[in-house]
Amino acid sequence: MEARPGRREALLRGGAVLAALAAGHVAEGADRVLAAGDDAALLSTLALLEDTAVYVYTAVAPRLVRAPLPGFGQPFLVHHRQHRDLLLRALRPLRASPPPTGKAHPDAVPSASGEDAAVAALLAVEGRLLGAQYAALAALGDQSLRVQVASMFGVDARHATVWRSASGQDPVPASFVTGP
Amino acid sequence: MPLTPPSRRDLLRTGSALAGAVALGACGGSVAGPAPKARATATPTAGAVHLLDQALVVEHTTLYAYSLGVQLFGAATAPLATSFRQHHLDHRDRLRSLIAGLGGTPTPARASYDVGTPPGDENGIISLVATLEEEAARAHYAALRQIADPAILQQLGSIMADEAQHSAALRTVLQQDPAPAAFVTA
Repeated sequence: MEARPGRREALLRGGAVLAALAAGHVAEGADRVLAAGDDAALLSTLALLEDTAVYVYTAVAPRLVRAPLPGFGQPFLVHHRQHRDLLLRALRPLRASPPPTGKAHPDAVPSASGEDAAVAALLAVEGRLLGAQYAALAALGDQSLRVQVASMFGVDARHATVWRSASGQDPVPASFVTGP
Repeated sequence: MPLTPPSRRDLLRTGSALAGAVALGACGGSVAGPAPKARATATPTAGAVHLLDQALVVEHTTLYAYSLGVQLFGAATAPLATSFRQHHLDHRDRLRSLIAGLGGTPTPARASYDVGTPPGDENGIISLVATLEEEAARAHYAALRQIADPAILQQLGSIMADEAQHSAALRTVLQQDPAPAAFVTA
């Protein structure tokens, strides 16, 4: 088994991840998680991805027009807000500074107008979350945190199914959910 | 390991039944990727095998339900049913592999399971499998809460999320909310 990185190294790596996120770099969620290092950095990464989802849903949900899609935007947005808030609360006992949330993530929002672009953006953000959460299930050191992430993972997987179906894709393309 | 095959009512109680089970003894580390082997360093406790075997029986039961209604699915839903059934076969095989890797003996499938009144039409079979998919997701979540080995938890989480996706797709067909809650609960 590969040794876990030292705490200082992990924090430095986590800091680098946060800096990349702040700069608006888009990487796959799993890569971000695996680079994060320790539980606090992992939770921060997941919280920022959920925060990105909140931003994307807020920006593109009004573009959903085909029934029943408009009815999904708001409740899924609420789910992501609840996930983000739970992750931020989970950070407190770790005495870690919360990541900056509520910021704009314009790179995650399509410039093209219309429903198809909106659905593609929502599927992309859900896919990044699924990859990050799947990686976190094995990377988090604390069992209770793994269980909390699993609880979000199962719900974000449902969201992805809805957006895949809306974009004409197989709603459940694989036997195992491991990412996008 | 002898296990009493559960009825559908038993499956509904799976979450609480699992709560008393023994967690896997294990240390940290991460294993992601397609190989489903349990890490050799995991402690092969009877409790861990029991948890995974309960998950396997859930898969046997769901597969049985799909087989009950093969001819009832319509043209639009048959491809979903065929695909989801294959997923459950894959879950079954992976769980068998994990159980065997821990030194356990996977429970074989029975000829039949109590899944209530056999459905008589397409709506009936979709409602039945949608209910069982929802129960399967919850049962797997209940099980993974008890599993300390991150690699095995990740494997079961991957299956749990797939059942949740099946449930979402089937609930959409039934014009029900595909994601009715923000968190999976047992």
